[in-house]
Amino acid sequence: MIAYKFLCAGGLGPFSRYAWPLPRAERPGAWVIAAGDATLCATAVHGCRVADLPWWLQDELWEAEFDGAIATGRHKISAPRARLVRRVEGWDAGCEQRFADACARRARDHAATALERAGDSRSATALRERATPVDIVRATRELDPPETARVTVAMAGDGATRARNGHAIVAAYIAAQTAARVGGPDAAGAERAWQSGWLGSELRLRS
Amino acid sequence: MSFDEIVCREFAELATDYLDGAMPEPTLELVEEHLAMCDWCRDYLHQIRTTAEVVADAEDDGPRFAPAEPVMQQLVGAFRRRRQGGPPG
Amino acid sequence: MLLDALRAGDEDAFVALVTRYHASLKRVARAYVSTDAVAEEVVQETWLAVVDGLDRFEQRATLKTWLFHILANKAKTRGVRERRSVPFASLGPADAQPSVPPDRFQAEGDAWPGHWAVPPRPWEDPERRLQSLEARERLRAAIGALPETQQAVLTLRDVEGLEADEVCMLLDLSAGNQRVILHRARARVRAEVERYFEEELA
Repeated sequence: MIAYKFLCAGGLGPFSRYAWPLPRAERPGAWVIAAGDATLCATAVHGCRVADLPWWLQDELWEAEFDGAIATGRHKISAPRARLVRRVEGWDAGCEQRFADACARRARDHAATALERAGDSRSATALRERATPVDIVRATRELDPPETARVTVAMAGDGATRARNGHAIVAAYIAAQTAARVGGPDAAGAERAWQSGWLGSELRLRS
Repeated sequence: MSFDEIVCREFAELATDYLDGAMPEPTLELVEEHLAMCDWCRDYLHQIRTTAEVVADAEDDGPRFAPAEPVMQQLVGAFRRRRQGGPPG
Repeated sequence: MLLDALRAGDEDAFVALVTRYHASLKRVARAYVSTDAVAEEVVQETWLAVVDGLDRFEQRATLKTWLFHILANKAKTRGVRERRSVPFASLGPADAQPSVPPDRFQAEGDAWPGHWAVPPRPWEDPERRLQSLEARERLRAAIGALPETQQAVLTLRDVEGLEADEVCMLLDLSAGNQRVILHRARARVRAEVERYFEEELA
């Protein structure tokens, strides 16, 4: 099956630092086989479906072919072998920043919901008006939220701080956590689905 | 936590299990999800690994840790006698 | 090969062997017996047994593993004679402490309970910096300050490079307990390295 793989700059595995064979002249990279070799991964090669992407964001996104008996984990797939097919060029620093900013605004909105529920509509409105991570951070510091919204507001501030630094994977995590604070585990799942939708649509990925 | 995850305080106890490859798959998934997004835990892991590597060099200081000279002489004496005596039977 | 040299009566080879392993053998012995002096006796008895057993050594294991087997047996016997409790039968109180002090993490009521509050600072070029004489002294002191069982496991795994299952067999230790003890030891030494690097910055 076709799925995706995030690698560190230079085509390196994020955990193994394994140098993946890269595609050349329209031909896929060589097959990488999990051989029970601890340097790669215990028993399988891992990949992401579109729904899994938000958990694994790294420098480079690759479309990859996975072959053999495919197993599904919580947020990944595993296969005995895989090869890189093409680089998803749309995923670059600029795209990562846009995604991080989007996640920061989502966390902001969940914090605003928390403020409304705590009876502080004024703060909620003020917060929702802030569009950039810088402004969101400032707002969360200026607010004096009711106790029941305090943590969620702080979390949204952290999300915006991380977005400022371009740490999309953390901003995405924080957005899911703020969603959970407001709407429980199902809301976190929905937030992650929103994130995959954003990425899939922006990068025109096959689901 | 409101849903399944491993946080830093838990990972701090699991670093050696992770390095030994001695983690059951469900735990390993949670650990990898966490490490993907936590620089600090990746640093901690790297530091545990570095520590494990450098202790060998720190202890490798040769003659400083040999037994005292009189003891060494006794041991060498026993060795000499045994080798000169040859193997039994 | 070292074993051949030893069997041929090469005294330099024997001195090299004793010099190489004496300290590690002592660290392991110390987990079983009551004092340094007794540990030293156990190691000397071990060397005498090695001298005696060289010809019988069948090489099913490495020379190193064989040394530690002899040592472990003698240390266990001596420990029993001293009526000490068996050191690795269960985890001690020192092994129950968290690897990192709880105040390094956020608490309940903070924004991120369980996440780092005071995260580790990345180490710059640690392998090179830890080669210095001062650094090695600090590392040795840190190892020497560990509880004896932690010193023993750290010595066997990380100093001597024995495999986890070899160490479990040597010390009658379950795989899980072995990893807990090893991790506690490594975590304490890591903390000392962290302090050393922080002092350099100050």
